[in-house]
Amino acid sequence: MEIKIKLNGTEMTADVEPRTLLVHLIREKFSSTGTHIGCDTSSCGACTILIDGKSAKSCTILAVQVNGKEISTVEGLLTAEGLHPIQEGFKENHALHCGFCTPGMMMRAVELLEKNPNPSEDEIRWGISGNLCRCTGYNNIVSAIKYASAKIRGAELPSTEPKFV
Amino acid sequence: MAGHAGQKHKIRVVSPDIGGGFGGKVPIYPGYVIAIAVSFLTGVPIKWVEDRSENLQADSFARDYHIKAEIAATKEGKIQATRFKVLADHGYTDASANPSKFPTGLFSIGTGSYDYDTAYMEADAVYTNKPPGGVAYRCSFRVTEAVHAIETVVDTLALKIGKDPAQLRFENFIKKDQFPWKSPTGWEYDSGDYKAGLEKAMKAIDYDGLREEQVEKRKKGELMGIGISTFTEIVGAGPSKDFDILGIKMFDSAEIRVHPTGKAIARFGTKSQGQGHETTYAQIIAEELGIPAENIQVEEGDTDTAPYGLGTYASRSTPTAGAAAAMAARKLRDKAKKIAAYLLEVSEDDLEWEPGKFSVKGAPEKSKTIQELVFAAYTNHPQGMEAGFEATHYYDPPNLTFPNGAYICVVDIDSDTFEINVRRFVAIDDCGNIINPMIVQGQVHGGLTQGIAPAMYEELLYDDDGNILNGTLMDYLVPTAVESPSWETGHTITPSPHHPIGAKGVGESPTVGAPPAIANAICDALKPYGITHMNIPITPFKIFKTLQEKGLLDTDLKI
Ligand code: FES
Ligand code: FES
Repeated sequence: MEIKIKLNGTEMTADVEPRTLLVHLIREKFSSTGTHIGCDTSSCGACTILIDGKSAKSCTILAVQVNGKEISTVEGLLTAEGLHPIQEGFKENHALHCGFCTPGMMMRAVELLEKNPNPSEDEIRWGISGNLCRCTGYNNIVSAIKYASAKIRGAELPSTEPKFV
Repeated sequence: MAGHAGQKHKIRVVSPDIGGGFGGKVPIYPGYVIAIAVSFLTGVPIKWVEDRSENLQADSFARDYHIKAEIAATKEGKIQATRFKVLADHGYTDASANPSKFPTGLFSIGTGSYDYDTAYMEADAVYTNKPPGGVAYRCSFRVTEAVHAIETVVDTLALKIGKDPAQLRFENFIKKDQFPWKSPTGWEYDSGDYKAGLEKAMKAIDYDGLREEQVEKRKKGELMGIGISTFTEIVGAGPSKDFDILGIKMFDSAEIRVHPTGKAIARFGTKSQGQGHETTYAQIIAEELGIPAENIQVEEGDTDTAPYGLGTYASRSTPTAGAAAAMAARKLRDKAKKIAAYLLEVSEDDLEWEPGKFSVKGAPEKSKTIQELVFAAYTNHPQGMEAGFEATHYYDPPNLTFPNGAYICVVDIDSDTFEINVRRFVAIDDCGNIINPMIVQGQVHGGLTQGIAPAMYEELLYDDDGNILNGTLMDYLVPTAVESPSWETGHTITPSPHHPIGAKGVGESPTVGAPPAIANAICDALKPYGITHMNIPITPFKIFKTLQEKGLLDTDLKI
């Protein structure tokens, strides 16, 4: 089937089988391998992308379902102005180790901050509870999202120095 | 395969970013071998992809150790001896990378951080029809299991004799001036200051205040528990006197080449899977050589270019390859000194080093920067000296490093549903000199979440016919940001006396140290029921079942 989508602002067309998963379309046909596959049961969130601005697990959606829609992946975060605030937050706060979960985590955070620009720690933790990270223990991911929130709101940036007791 | 046929030099393994490791990537899986064989047979490249459900069902597993731990002590609580008997389920084949002559990890630091001299340890392993087992999951050679045994049995002792578990530990710790300390099983702990670590953790969490709060809560029948773990780890395999893999000594390697531009490439036999080697190794070399870290490119993971090495696992990269980096850099500094003496026309003894340059003692205006000296190594070096600025070091550690930590956990348990809430968790680690505090802290955070996992959540369940019951991430609960508490971490610093820069490994300490702190906190909370021990993972349902089976559900909780 012929489908047409907008991927990170660029019109794309593809001929897909009806059974093709969106994540496979993105990774294999469009070579955007920033979107990862971490499970086969919609449990890990590594494949999280935005469909018309709403976060979704692309391993659980058929490519044909997004015909005519706008898809944003991690590759679209970087712009001519530089890193997206969420990317800067992850970088400054050491919020990634192996990086496997990071693209999905950031895409989820983008939507979270869109809907709730100043989330509490609890709201952040529940907000990313569909995304697993095996490496970081989440502390620094929470800090990264708080940092991005401040940056987007134009508020004072929190310190990125590690805090020790 | 070609390695076995003596053709190893013809094989190139390139390992780019591969995701986290944690021990699961140590074994050789049948899929690897089959993919290679099929590629040979068909003459085309073969890709083998395992999906997550296959991974949970058929990949290696860890921690299926059934340990009976006994502790002997005086009435006052002075530990006299321990005895561990272990039955280890290793699945259908042993999946761990075992050094040829290193016995099970239980025989190393199983006696813990305590001063006594009698121990008996016995391990039996069985084959079962489960996947390959016995992986040292984020710990060096299964010490997580050993630490869990010693740290929980010490708490059981405290409960039985009615002594505060912190006090019991203080009275039994190996003291700072007893290091290097020969353990009952013959290992030499390099350094530690256990008392300082526990004191710091107690202060950070307000231990006395928590105990007072607990007394008040118990009067009201509320379940609150405080758990401690003061563990010793053993990492940095390994000294060739103790370790080898089929005869190959367990060194690791570094190779540094500084170009005439003063910028360097450094290659290693290890491979980062998110541990931040690129940053840490560059910092070590920068510190030794005075070249800015951003001018040092770190490269790993290509067998065509890397020096021969044994890889990254068991928290060994800083103890071995990190040491090799420092030693190789020191070789280069020695060469730079010879060149400086030649250029400044003085003897080497008249030169002084400060990071980044050599100058003449008493005449600091006569100096040469490292960049000038490197350039001279290619353009104007003394007659008879080999040109170039390049050094390799294979580091065979004289001993292992023994990082340690003091962890304290506070839990609240709902007396109706038995839901367990980890209210606070303070982790004080001592990994000797710290190269990069942010990276060490990141490793500790991640390890703590992997420590809460076996304590409260993760367990592969099988029915009586051997079918896996939770073979997807839907029902095998990897902790999310919600299950993970906000970790509070800190450190004490007791340098390793034998490591070139006084550092110890740290990546696995938190995974090793956290489970007993959590289990001890839960048992402490359940004290009103008279519970002194529970096997992990401890879930609300397991608490309910245990109490139900013992007929304790209607216990009056007010004490
Ligand atoms: S790959 Fe989509 S949720 Fe895991
Ligand atoms: S950084 Fe490795 S899984 Fe999140």
